[in-house]
Amino acid sequence: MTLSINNLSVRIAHKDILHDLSIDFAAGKRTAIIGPNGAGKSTLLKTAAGLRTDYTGSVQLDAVDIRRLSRRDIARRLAILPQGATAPPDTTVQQLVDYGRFPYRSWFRASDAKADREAVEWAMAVTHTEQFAARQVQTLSGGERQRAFLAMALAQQPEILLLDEPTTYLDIAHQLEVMDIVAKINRDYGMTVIMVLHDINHALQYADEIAVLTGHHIAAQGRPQDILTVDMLAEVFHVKADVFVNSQGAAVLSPVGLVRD
Amino acid sequence: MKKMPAESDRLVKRRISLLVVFAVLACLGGIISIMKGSVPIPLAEIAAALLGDSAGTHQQILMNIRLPRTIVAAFVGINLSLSGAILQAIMKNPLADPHIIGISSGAGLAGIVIMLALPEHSWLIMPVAFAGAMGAAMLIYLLAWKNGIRPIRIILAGVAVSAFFGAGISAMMIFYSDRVHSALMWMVGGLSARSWPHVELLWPYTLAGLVLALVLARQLNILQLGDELARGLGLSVERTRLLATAVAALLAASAVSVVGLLGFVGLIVPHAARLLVGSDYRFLLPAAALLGAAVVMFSDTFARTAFAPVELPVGIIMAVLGAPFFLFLLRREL
Repeated sequence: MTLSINNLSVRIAHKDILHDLSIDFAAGKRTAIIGPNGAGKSTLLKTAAGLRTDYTGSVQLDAVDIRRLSRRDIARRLAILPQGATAPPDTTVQQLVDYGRFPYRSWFRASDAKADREAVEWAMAVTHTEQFAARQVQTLSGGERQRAFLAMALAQQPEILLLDEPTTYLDIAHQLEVMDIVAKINRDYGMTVIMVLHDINHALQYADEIAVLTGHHIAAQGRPQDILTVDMLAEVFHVKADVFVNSQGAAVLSPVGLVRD
Repeated sequence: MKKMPAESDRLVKRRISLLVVFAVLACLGGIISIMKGSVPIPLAEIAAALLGDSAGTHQQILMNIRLPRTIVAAFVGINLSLSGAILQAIMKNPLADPHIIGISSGAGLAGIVIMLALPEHSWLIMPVAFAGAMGAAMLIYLLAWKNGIRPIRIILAGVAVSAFFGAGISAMMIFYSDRVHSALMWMVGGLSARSWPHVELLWPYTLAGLVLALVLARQLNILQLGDELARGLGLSVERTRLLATAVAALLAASAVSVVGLLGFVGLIVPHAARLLVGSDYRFLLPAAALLGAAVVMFSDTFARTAFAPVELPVGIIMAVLGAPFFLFLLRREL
């Protein structure tokens, strides 16, 4: 399934957030969207997921305009985990993950209980959340909570998964844990992953494709090693960085200071 | 599933047993409400009267006064509690209830106008109050509409509409200060002299409200996750919110048009239910309905009998019970 965006412009309160932006997201790949704060990364992700409707241009799922699809149809093919997702504090993890089956249920048609159960079981197994399935959301640590919400999105059995800064507020171990799960889902099940990332090194390590969002549009798109360079960091983020090669033989960018004009 | 459900099952069992407890409480409330009063009626006679093989004054009191009043109390409790529970989900605000949202004020003003300016047409009170509540709900919705509905705008619009209609109520009471007494009962909310015609007015709303609320339970659960997550899961957020607001308004309007501005039921009962059974609306709605019926029946029985021969309006009892509970919630949650 391909997701493509053409000539997208979004204005919020008379201000251009995105302007004439076009991008195709390759099916089966992990694409990281990076860019400075306020560049419109979350807006792009929400628009791509059909959460916003106040735009010009088009968002197409397999060449069909997303505005012609019902919310339920979209939710079966595409899942989004926004930043700072919350649930009533006494919701159990099991119940939360089960909410991911909502797009498959309706009050006038009995749902396929077996398919629902299997999807929930699978989502919890992939995210290692089964062992705390009965716990309430309010008792979870940040990392556990993020995995539980990730499991909910996976229970939708989408072909495309959109993640808005999935590692924010997590410690290093939990960041890697979440990123590893995302990589595994992509690798083992061919799910297309589109994620907004803050950490340039996560983008380097976990993405097949990088899109740089700045100045209201996609300024560059390509392979991580071609895009994530010292020059790009200086130009887009105004940050001076060094490059190291780590023990795994991978390049790592280390910011050393701001570029002063 | 395999391992974890042990605890999930326990949770479901706990919730179901609480529902049973609430159902028993509601039945008890009904029986006590029928037994107690200026003329106590023993349980055996109630059974006989209900089966139709008894006659006399007790049977008259039972069938014409106590039973319909008790049923009205139960229906009003159910309607206000469901209305509050639904509003709390769609506003994502624990303080939402038909009073605070301003739906009641529309019914209040409409009712007062009839009561004071056209007292000879008192039969108009119910339909006009109902129209007033629905009108207020629609007005609030229109005022709050600006590229969609935000809960905070509904609440603020409700406060403004409430204040506006409140001014109308005060003005009416000053213009007709000689007739204020009859309006007082209405302002506080009471069940005095409520009988079969009121039952007939209420039951369709209670039944439809219960059915619609239970149909909406899954959507309300999803709505509690916030607009973004709910949309992402495929919920038509605006449509669900509009439909649920209409159901809540109908429930509140029917209750207010029968008993007047009975406060706190729609606020405290859903909260108490939420504290006990949790925020899953599939359990919360039936729990709120049962608990609401029980609370209003018990409170009305107390209001009728505690200070006999003076009969207090049940609204006073609700406020005396409700205000401290409200403060308790405030300390606990905010």
